Amino acid sequence: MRQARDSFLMFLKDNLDSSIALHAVRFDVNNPNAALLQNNAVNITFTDPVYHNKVADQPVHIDICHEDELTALSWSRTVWDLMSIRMYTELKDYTSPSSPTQPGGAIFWKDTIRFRSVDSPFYSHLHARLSLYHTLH
Amino acid sequence: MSRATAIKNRVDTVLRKFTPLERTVYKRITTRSGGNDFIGRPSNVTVSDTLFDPQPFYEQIGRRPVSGGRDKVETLSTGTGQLTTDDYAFTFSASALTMADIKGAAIQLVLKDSSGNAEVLNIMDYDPIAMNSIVIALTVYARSTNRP
Repeated sequence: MRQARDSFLMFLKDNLDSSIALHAVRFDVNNPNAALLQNNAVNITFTDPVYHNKVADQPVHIDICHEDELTALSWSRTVWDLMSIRMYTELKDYTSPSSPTQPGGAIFWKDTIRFRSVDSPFYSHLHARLSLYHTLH
Repeated sequence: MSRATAIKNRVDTVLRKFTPLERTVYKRITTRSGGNDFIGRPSNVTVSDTLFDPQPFYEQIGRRPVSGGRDKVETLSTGTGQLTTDDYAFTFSASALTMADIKGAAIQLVLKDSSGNAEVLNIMDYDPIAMNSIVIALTVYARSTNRP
């Protein structure tokens, strides 16, 4: 499951334009801000992992928060353009981050990403939820 | 010396008289380097605890006044009856904790007792007390990482 998370994060980080800030939301007792959504960024949050002996499921939330609604909309299109190229990416093991290995297999997702607007008086917020399917190694 | 600076020095003197309390307070800075911190795999994580000087005064916010003094409430009861730790209010000397410190993303507060037990707190809010554009003291509200 950790491989799926790392692989998806690095897939986005390596392929999204550097002008789009990417924030991995994660609870870390030594990093209080890591668990907070970041404004003017594409936030990635992993939720309830589902283990299965054939195809496991790692749900992921994509929260695009930006002070400008049109930029948030543009970023949602950019994320879709990237993820719709192939609907999958290689599964990699990042235990050694500088030299990831490929245990085999891929993580894949369905061909629809539905964004919902989240009301906020402070910023524009688009939220999408999808599943990352993969086999466990 | 300006009046604000004189008052700030007086705050330091008062704090030294009333502190330290049962537990001493440290500033914790966590730094990560190497590896890939973006996916949560930094190769080197260092935690540095620095003793505040002067020590701040602190109390738990839930303390309520009762006849003859205050009743210390260390825990709160949630709607399900679960006990959880109360939030803390700190009064810091502006010499010990600066606005730049507070706004730093990696700062946490740590309470340590004489046995070495430690409780880590995250800063939730702060309220600078200023005079003539000089911060003379800081009120900081912090929540224990033990709190669910």
